[in-house]
Amino acid sequence: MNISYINTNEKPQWCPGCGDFGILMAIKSALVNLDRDPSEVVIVSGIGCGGKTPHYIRTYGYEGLHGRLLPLALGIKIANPDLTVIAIGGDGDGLSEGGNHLLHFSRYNVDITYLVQDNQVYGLTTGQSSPTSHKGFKSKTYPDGTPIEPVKQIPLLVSQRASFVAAGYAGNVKHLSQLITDAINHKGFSFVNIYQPCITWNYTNGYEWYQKRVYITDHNPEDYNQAWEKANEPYNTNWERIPLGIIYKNRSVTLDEEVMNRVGKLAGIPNPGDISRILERLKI
Amino acid sequence: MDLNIKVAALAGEGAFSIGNLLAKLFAKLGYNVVAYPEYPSLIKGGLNVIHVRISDREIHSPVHRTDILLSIGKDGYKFLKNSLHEDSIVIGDESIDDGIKVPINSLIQQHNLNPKVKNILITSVLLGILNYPKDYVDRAIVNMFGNKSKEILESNLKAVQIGYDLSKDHRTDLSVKRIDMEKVVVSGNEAFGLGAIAGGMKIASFYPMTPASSLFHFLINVKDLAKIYVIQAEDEIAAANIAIGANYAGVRALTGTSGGGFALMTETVSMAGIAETPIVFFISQRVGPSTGMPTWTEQADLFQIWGAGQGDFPKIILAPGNVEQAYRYMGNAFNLAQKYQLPVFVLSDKFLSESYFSISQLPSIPVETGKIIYEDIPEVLSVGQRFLRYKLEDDGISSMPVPGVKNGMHIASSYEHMQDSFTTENFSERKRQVEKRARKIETIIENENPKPDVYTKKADKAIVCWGSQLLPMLEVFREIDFDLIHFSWLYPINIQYTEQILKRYRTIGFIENNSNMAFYRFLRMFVDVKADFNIIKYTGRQFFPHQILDALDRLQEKDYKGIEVIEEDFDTYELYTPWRY
Repeated sequence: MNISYINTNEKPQWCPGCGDFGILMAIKSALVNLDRDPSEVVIVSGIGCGGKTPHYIRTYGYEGLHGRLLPLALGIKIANPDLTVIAIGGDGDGLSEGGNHLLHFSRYNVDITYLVQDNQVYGLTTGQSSPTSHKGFKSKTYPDGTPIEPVKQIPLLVSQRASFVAAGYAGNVKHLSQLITDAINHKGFSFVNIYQPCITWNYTNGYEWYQKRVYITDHNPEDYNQAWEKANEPYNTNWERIPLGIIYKNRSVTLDEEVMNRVGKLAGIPNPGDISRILERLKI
Repeated sequence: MDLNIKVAALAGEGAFSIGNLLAKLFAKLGYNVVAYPEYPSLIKGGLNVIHVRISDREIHSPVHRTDILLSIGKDGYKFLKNSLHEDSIVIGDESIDDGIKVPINSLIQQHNLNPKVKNILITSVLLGILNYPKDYVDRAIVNMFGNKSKEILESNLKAVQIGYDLSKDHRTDLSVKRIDMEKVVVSGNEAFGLGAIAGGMKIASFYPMTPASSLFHFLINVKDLAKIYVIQAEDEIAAANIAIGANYAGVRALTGTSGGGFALMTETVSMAGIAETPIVFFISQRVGPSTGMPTWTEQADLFQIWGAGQGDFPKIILAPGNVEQAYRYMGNAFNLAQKYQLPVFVLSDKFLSESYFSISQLPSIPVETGKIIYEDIPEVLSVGQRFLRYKLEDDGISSMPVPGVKNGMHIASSYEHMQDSFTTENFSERKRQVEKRARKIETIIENENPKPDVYTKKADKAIVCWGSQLLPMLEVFREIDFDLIHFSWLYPINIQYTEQILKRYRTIGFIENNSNMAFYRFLRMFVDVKADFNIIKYTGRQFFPHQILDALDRLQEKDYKGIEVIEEDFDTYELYTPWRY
């Protein structure tokens, strides 16, 4: 795909220096590497700064509700498995409002790619604590420091044996782009947690902070025990070491494959259903 | 012949499977059948009653009168005794006071039967008494239990034989025979499901909630025949969003629930409103507020549906009144959703959803997709340009390409947007989009010509009802000097036409299964009408026809002015809260 096919006329409305720019670039270059027409890609987003991403990539898109992008993406994918479906939203969107959906998506294992823009703070609502805010993080919500523990989404997803769990970093676009490509190519629910600085509301976890801690892991992601170890490393080391890369992966039947196997192709012009045999069955 | 059979047993003892069996057996001989189950919200214990009415003329609703009572245990007798008359036949187990006592337990021991055949045993006594052809019963039993163990099947077949043998001691002058072609028995929810399938629905997503669940259970039962996929989501919010996603991709999808679950879906309704994504919501009302009385019936959620979703956007609300309408309206709801690109609500209630009716045939439903684009668009978009998804059109409806269609790229957006779908906070763009969406209302009224059904006797008085209230009202209509006006299309309203109809009458009354007179108040938001009287009932049960006739008698003495509140004939408190006695 040529990049001009997916460029838009509008310029992103993010704060200069925002991690969202790197993520946008990484998604676009992953799409360029993908052998697809822009009309075969759907980017679904929730609400938040990163929720605006579909506006800056000219594919199909659905900017849905805060926290509800996953079921929306699932509906699209099972209706038409030929589409490449990417969901993107922030940590508040996916881990707070949408936490219940995330828990169940390891079960559905629908073949979509889910990118979480994890900047540990609420941006668009102006600086409240988020579900991934580190303990002690000073925010509008907790001026004296966040007193509660963050959600540990990567170990959570690994514990649920989600099909593909990865960690990327908005400051390493090349690596992130490859990770997104791998996530798209992986058959199954692919979760990519993207660490990203929020230069306006999060003064603690900036580029410099990350740069000192992130490293690219080379463990075997198909080994559950190694994956569990890596998934917990940031918490075990009090954020001294943050592994990037594919943390865990496995391959099992996806929901869209299951739908396809059971009912065949659903997309296309609707046809009236035949109820005559069903009426026969209702008789005794 | 108009025979009212009531089957009563404790929950778990098979009253409903017997009710269903009786309904189907009589429909097989061509009789018209109505059956309605009543039960508390628990799985074992507690009284279950199913009203099975069979007739050789058209019938619409269960009635209070009991001609035949089949009772396992005493409770059914206690609950229904004031509906018995001197010719009623009571058939029960050893526990009943009078009537035909079948020594169930000793028969089961004597013939070494499975203890679960109690219900079949008692029913077979009745079928024998009515001279019902036994080979049909045997065949039905094979149908019902053929996939169970051999022991269960044989036990049931033996029970039928024993029942028929016993019936020889109890002859009456009642006798049934074939009167017409075989009819099919469907519940309200099955009719909604058939309508959805006929209307091209391919995906259904739900989270269990009575009384909507049985629609989805039906779809699951027939999924392979219908080539559909049913998904149980993690919650109602997910269910609604899954259906929206599928509809956005051009595949017809349904979601459904009851009021409590719908509360969770509300934000999604609003999203469908601004993004203009077609979607059909099925909502079967039950008794509220909140958890209320989960297994009982009421029509009190109209304002919840009407008000669902922040902001201002068009929607369509339908409330079919019987199974034939349930089928037709549900099938067409998918057309309406796609033609007008908005949320369509199909309302039911526990009474309609779970009642069974015999039907002869159902029409096919033509599929219309309006301006949804399924074929590639030849005009190539220039660099950076999106498809004009929200183009300002005179009829308010813009073209909607589905993902996969070349040159149709756009964003379906929960934000206000420009014609090319990019987010905007431009005031004039915003105003134009609001007006574009609002224009759909006129387009719908012009194209669909929505209007109430008028059943006329050329009377100068009329009773107005909506939704399932049609069922008892059609029974009452035969006996009163009133016209009957039934609203099954609730919104949008053709104001002029509706006023024209209502102005014909000197006296107008509204009858509703709620306490807040929701539909009367709803109609008054649009239409100049003043009720002379209102009849309301909010005990948790539907109206029985005789209760409406009694209310009208009382109203006549008051010159048809005022509000009549219907009481229940019998306080069910003890029977429906068994843990208290």
